[in-house]
Amino acid sequence: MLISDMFDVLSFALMICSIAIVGCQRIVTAIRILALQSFILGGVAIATAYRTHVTELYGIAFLTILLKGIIIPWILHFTMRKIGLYRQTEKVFSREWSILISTALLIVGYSAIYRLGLNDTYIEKQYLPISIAILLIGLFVMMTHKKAVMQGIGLIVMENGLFLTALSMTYGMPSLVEIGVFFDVVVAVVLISTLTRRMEQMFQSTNTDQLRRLKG
Amino acid sequence: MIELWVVWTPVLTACILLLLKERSKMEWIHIAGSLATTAFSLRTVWDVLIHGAIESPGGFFYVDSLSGVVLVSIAIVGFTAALHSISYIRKEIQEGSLQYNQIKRYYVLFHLFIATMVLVCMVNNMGMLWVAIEATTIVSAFLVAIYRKGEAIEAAWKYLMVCSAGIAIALLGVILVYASSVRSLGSANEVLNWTLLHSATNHLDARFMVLAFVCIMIGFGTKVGLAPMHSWLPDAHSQAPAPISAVLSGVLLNCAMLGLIRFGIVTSHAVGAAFVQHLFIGFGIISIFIAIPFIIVQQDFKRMLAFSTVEHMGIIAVAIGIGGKIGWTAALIQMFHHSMAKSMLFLASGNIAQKYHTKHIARVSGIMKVMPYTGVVFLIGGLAITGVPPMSIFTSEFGIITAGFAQGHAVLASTLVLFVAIIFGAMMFHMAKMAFGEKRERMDIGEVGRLSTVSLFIPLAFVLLLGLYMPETGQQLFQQAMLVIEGSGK
Repeated sequence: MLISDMFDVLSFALMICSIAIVGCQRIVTAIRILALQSFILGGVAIATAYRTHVTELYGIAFLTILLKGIIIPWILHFTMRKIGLYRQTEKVFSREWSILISTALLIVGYSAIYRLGLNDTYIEKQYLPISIAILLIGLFVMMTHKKAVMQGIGLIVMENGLFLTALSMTYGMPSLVEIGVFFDVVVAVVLISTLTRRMEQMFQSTNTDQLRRLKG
Repeated sequence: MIELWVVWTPVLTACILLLLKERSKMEWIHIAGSLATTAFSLRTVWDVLIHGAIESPGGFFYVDSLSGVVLVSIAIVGFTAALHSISYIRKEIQEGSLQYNQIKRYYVLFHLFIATMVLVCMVNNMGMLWVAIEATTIVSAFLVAIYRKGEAIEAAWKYLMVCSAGIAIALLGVILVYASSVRSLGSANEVLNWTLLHSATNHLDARFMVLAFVCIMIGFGTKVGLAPMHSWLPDAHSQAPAPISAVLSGVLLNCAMLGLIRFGIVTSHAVGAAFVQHLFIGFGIISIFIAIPFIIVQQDFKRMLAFSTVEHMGIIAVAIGIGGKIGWTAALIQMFHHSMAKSMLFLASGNIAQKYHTKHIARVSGIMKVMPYTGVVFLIGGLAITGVPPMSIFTSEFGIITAGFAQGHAVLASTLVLFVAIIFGAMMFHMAKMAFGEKRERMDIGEVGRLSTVSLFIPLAFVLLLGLYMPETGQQLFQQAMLVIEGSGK
């Protein structure tokens, strides 16, 4: 298989994963898809490293797979086990509308990048629109989902979009910065897990509609 | 290497605290660590003042007088809050609001929080600056959630979600700056370094930088608490323990503002100053405007102070937007003075909340009779924060308004005067009602704790004295920091 075909397949898979997270009915499924997306992201980083000979990217790819593909999904899964695995997602829009809107966001990504008028390299052309779309889809998940864990997942999807942006524009941020970002994300996930469990203890629910006391 | 110690001391203190078991030992280490951090920070700023900007070998750390201004406020407010914490936490244990393991978590996180803020001031790499600002959010969200109450969890959750999403957008901005920088300077780890970016800015791609700065303005603006992204701020500031509120409002926002200013300087070199200044003025004036109704109808005094913080961040943003030598200097002085006055008010409000067991304005009256020291400080703080002469904030606000007229922003400056006057009226109305009036029955007279009273006097000294007399070294620091913003200083 040609490397450019490989990039096509990976970019298609990333898109499908983001839309699948939006349409999920169970939170545990969303966590699994998130893990899959992070694995694919690691694959994109490896393919980019192979193509551009930026050796640092192999390390970054390893970290992506380890932290975002294994450790973070594990923490989230652990949280779900504590509060009950069979939780349904709850969203403002219906499943059909959510999927429709997220595909619209994909088009927004393409048109936004088209207007910027960049077509320097193959990787950039292929991934930049998708990365912007993933960023927007992450934000959309955060805004429209009511369950705390799903909002957290939205945040990580946003981070994945940003990682892909950096990867496609500049073959990754300086490695020190990239490691710092990973560290922040992992600690944020620990905090999300802690707060979710406490929410469950306090309200017997992780629906963020419960959080309506502070006003004015 | 004195500057390395500024970052390592709070981290080391946190590690030692983690190992300790007895509360009294924790308190001693806590105070000693805080004192050391303060001493190292002040020493570093002193070195910057005398020798100019310091860059560590390898270029990871970089402190100039601009970050020096923020570092000084971290040093002073950090120490004051540390002192206040001891009394505050003892009282909370007595009341049964906090358990033993929560105290330990509080002290450890307090020092980590200080460490992340110091890091914001000291990193050279602008990507690491982003990492440090995001780290401050995460650590302080743990602190906001320290109470096991529904409201505290709600505040922490909103804080984490709003700020993380906002700051993710800022990361997109940082990536765009990096992309622009890589294109002109070549791929290397150093191309995001401040020392390189602000000297080689003319090569940056203007098209990228416009987009980048809009992202950064929204992202860091969320963290600064500029409207309309300020929604997390009143919740987090009112639910956190009082010393943490003081640090959040007093210096954390300054740290985020520092990031905003740094990127603003780089962008204005690449695309022209007008674009950056208009964004600052726009977000600033909206923030001041939005704070007004919330302050007028406010029922919770900690929330009132939080909205006053939104107002002040707006004033600082407007001042940076107005620019010019006077505008920038006044903005920096305002940042410092706001740190002093607002941290003092939050600490005093902590004493009031612990004494009256409420945060309702209507249920508090006669503070002057119940807690004479706190009452006086609270009232002076109120006068100071609303910009009454001869207190310190009057001088900087006067400078900002003068600069506004001088730079030809007559309408803007007049609006600013009007807004500040309305807020003065509203805040004094609430605070006078709390300070005077009859004390409630069955309320014994006396302060909450010795340390929580003593700690109020440190910021009070700055608030009272700096309005009348600014020492030579202070003037020099603000002057040099202004030159950094202008683009000619170090």
